[in-house]
Amino acid sequence: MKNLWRTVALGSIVAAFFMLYIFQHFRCIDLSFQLEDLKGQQAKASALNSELKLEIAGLRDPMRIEAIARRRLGLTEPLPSQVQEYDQPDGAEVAAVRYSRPNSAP
Amino acid sequence: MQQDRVHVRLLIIAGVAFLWMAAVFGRLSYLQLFLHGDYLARALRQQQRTIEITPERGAIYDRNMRPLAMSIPVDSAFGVPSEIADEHLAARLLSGVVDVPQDVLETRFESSRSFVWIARKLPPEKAEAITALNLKGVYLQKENKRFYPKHDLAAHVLGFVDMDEKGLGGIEYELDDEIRGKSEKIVVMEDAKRRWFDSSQAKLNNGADVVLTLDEKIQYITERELNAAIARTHSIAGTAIVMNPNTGEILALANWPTFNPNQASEAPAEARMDRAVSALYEPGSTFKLVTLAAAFNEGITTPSEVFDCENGSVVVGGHRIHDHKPFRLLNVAQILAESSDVGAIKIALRLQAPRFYDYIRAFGFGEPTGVDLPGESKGLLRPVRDWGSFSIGSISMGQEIGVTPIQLITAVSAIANGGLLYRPHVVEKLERGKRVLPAEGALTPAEAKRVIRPETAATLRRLMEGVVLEGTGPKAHLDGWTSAGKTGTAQKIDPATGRYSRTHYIASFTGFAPINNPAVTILVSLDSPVGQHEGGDVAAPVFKRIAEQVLTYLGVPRDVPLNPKLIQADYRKQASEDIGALEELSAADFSTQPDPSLAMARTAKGRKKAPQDARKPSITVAVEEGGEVEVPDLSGKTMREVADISLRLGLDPVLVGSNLATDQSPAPGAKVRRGARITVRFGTPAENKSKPQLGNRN
Repeated sequence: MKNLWRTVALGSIVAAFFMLYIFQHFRCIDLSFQLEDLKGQQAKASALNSELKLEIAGLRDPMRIEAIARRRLGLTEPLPSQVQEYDQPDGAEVAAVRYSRPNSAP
Repeated sequence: MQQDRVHVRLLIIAGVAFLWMAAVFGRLSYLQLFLHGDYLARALRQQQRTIEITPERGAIYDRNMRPLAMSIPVDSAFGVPSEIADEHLAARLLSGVVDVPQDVLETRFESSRSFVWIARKLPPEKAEAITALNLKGVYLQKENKRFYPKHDLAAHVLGFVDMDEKGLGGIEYELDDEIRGKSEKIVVMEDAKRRWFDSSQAKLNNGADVVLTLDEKIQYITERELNAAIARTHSIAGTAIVMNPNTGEILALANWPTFNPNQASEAPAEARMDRAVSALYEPGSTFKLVTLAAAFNEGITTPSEVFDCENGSVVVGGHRIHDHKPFRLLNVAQILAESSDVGAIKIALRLQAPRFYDYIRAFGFGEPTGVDLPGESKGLLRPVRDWGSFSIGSISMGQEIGVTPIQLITAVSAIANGGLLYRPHVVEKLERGKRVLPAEGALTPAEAKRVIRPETAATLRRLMEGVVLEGTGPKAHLDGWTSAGKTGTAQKIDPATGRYSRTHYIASFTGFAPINNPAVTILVSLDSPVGQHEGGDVAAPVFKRIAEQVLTYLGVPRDVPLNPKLIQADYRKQASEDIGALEELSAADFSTQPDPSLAMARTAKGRKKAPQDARKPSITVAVEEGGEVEVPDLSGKTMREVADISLRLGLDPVLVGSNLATDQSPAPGAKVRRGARITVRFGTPAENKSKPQLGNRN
């Protein structure tokens, strides 16, 4: 009886060893699938990122922006005289006469 | 007895179990030990595939890192014929989605190949439609597709690619090897449902990104104004280029007709031609700049020298040349301002052919500029030994020579920057990741070449300002900045007759702004405008519109005030009836307090005014708050003294030579604006006696 139990115990250990090996093998395959799946998701996210960058670039197209500004918002380009510089030179002097107009007649 | 029976039964069960285990174990051993190789090979054949990873093509950016061209992965549909059960059904269903004829698809599915394309690089909605069909043997795989998100912006610079992302024009072609990257093969393991469960590591060799010198905004401004000019003048073609004259960087390059690189295959070849580097034309009067540059640099004339333009007609080498107006006596400055062909010919004759030819070559004509765009023409310039008796006359006025727009703007930029010829370029750098790649081959920076002296360039700049202020280019006068340039109206050759056409012209204007420290050089060229055809009438206004917007965008400080200050004043010393042209007066002729003697003269002429009325200012005067300074006499001063004086007055000195100052431009007493550049030559008086004097301001 004692020998029988010893045989059973030994057999169980050997069986357990094989079961563990098989479990690891299939677990490894399972994890490989998951890894490749994650790589695929990463590639998809990267592709989505590129698509969004492309979309942003398209939205920033100067022609599109001008069309919106003119047609939808009714804007127009400023005249050169409407674009003011903030840094005016100090002590500007009268340098030359460019044109004149007579005042109203006396 | 009963115990023995139980014992026997246990033995039988144990024996059966043992036999069963032995059979299983034996079978397993047989499979694993003897058939291992065979099954492994079969598994690998089923599961292992070699995939070619297409590298991501490098993106193209403008100078501010705004993307102009980029590749993203899209779906391409392919079929495995051996897996397709019903070829006819599959072809019919797919044909409606991908716009490929059904019979074409059927032929592909009936082939013995293991892989056939159904349609490549599909839009997302079509890929989804194919997936929804759920056909066995039909799969999707990712391929990179090139997109140009700004549509036709900078189309000729960017170029385009074919279905396999091979560059076919522009930068896509010129730098195809660098942008393309290297494809890599990886080995993958996939199951029956084509799901990957293992793959080898791919060494990514993506293409390099290209950063251009173009500015997206300046490019858009240039294209918009060129398109508007084409529509207005009904020209058949046009080109506009904006360049930084101090570096040779091209900020904008526009051609019309143009095309959308996203649909390049649908555009005609004529629209895809980069006229800026390929189209040859006779530059006409613009080439007088080269004639005068050579003459001034050789010291054979000065801006104030007077030439007899013989009433606008002269015979040279058996040919009679007419000016567009019957000019008589003109000084050199006026020859340029009024664009007198007769005057230019006389100057060129004095220069003589060999020297003139050397300067033409020095300015880069007759050879490629080396711009990093494909298809550049070297122009048309016959060697001087092949010149005829009249060639020097023709070439001096811009005929009998073929130039490209890029050559012309490069030459004018040399005048703008003080005499240095830079290689024009559109590529700033190549990057991979964050690493800047070393410039090699055509991208290697080239040394600038000096073609004329700084004082010659300074003289020419002043004369070119005269073209805008007093000559043929008043429509290039800018609001807020000084500008300089030269108009060109060149007759085209009529291909039917081989002679110059009287109806078809190339109208052009090439110039820069501001005059002191030019920020941009701009060339505008219109081919065969209808109606008005003079460069000053059709091209100069385009230059003005582009320049004003670009200078505002770049934040270039104005050197001409926009809103003049108004003051009340009166004429000093003269009665108002005696006033001649306003241009003949100076600030000294006006007073904010009327002259009492003048008031008395008016009263004497019968105008009944009370003395206090006579004190009222009679005119409103707009004055320029330019902050002008008078250029001092710097002769005999050392370099340090000249630099100190210049800085104190707010002038920008250009010092040439060594020892003491002997000559200067502008001359002493001239009025210039603060920040203006003055050129001062140093040497010993005896050394400089034989050298030509620096040009005087007109």
